[in-house]
Amino acid sequence: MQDPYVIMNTGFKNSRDSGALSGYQIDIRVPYYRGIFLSSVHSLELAVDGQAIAPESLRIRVSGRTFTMAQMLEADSVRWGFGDPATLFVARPGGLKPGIHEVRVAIVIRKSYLPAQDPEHLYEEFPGLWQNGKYSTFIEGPTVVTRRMTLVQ
Amino acid sequence: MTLSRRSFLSAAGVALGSALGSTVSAGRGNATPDGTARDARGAEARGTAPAAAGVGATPTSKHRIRRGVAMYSYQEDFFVRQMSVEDCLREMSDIGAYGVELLAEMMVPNFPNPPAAWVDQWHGWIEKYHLQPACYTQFIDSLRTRTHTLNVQEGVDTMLRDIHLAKRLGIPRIRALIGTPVDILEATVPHLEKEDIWLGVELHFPVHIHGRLVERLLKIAEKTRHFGFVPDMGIFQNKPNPYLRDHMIRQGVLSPDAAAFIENAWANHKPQAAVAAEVARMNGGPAAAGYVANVFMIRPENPRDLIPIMSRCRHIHGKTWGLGEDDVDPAIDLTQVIPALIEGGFDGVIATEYEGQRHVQDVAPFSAVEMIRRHQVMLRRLLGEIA
Repeated sequence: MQDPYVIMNTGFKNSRDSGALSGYQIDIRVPYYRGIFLSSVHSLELAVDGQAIAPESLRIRVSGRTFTMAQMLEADSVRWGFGDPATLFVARPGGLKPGIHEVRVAIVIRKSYLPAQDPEHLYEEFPGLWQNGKYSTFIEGPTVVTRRMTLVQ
Repeated sequence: MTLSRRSFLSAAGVALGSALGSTVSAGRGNATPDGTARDARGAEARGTAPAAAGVGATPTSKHRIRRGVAMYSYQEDFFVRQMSVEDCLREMSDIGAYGVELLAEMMVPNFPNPPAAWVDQWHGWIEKYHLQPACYTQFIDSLRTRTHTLNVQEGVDTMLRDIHLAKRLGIPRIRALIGTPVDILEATVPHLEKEDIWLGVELHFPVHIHGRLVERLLKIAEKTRHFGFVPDMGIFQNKPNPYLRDHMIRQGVLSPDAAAFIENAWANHKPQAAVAAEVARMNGGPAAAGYVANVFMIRPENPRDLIPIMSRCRHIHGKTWGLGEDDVDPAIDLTQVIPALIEGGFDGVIATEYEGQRHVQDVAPFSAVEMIRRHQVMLRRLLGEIA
């Protein structure tokens, strides 16, 4: 999938809990060309206006269910469909001020293109997988997307 | 050749990452694992116009190769809703690429359980546009969580999920990733035989046709006619990918001088280490170092090496990163490959797999339709449909 489309400006708004501004939310799409199991998200980092958001302050809603970051890593039966928005919730009493904000998402999808183990040494011809007698697959670097966008309320 | 993990990553990430990384309810259509002949007869039996084109290539006695498209190729147009699934299928019909490879996890609503109405619509489109479901693009997701790797039963369950969806959609063949664990493949074979579905492991760069992996997979293929290979034409890449290079230059991470130096050195068989050192001395930066690794990994397989395993190959990925207006692929030359496929008796679909989207999205977004069309003209020429 195309990186420029990962962060959506629609859906960017403050969220309320019992009438009070409790935080804000941002919609993102999976940076890949197909839907995935939510547990295929290997890591997800969010920074807003240059401030990294602590994982404990972050939730993600996919297919109508909300998960902590730790729960997300284990959600191996939840599908995050291709093109479907997932909503990130950031806990922040008072929300964000109306106006322009810089949102940065760094996300790694674990793509399983190669097996986790190679007991029969079948992948020795693949450069970089076997090193010093040990096999390990690689995880791609993060897709990093930054977008400046306006929050209205 | 030895490559550091990092340089392999940066160099091969493009190729591996994008395509590795980068296709029944029975009774519908002509789904059968080795039923390519039935495919063609089916089209003729319907008396539809494309039958004259023989579901792909001209049905000469010279070969049984048909053209198709891997719908992976339309990902950007589909994502931005510039093209619907039906638009993609209509386009494929218009260009005579009747063999459809579906990427279900991209295009099937509520995957893996699409509504019955959608499944009916799918079959309607296949009929309306005279298409042949050729292949189902499968992904094993074997590293299901950070810590849990699928066991054999879980892997087979994943395969069954896709086998059943493929059957619902009348698709007789499945493409599995080259990294699908061998024990899962072996345990899947009885289900393939029971469900009468053919599964092919994608022979994708950097695999060697004569390597250990193919040798091991052949042992499975020798025991069943429901298992084999889907060669990806990227294994025949014989020139640097200019779309990747030009993108890096536009991004400012690779200088035109460094790119020219690297490519000339590669063409003149200079040692990689010396070239890497020289590029470092030119202050090429990490991306330029990655480009050295990328270019020096080019080592096309011998097309004739496919001939002995051709009977195990029932589908092919016609990989391309793009072609010029002359319909020539600057990086993957198939002029010696297609004759080998014909000589080996390949009986199946070459599905164009356009993978250049990310290289040109800054200057030529939505390039897929045009590039697929150019690739199809190239295929028509090489298949003898046109001069």
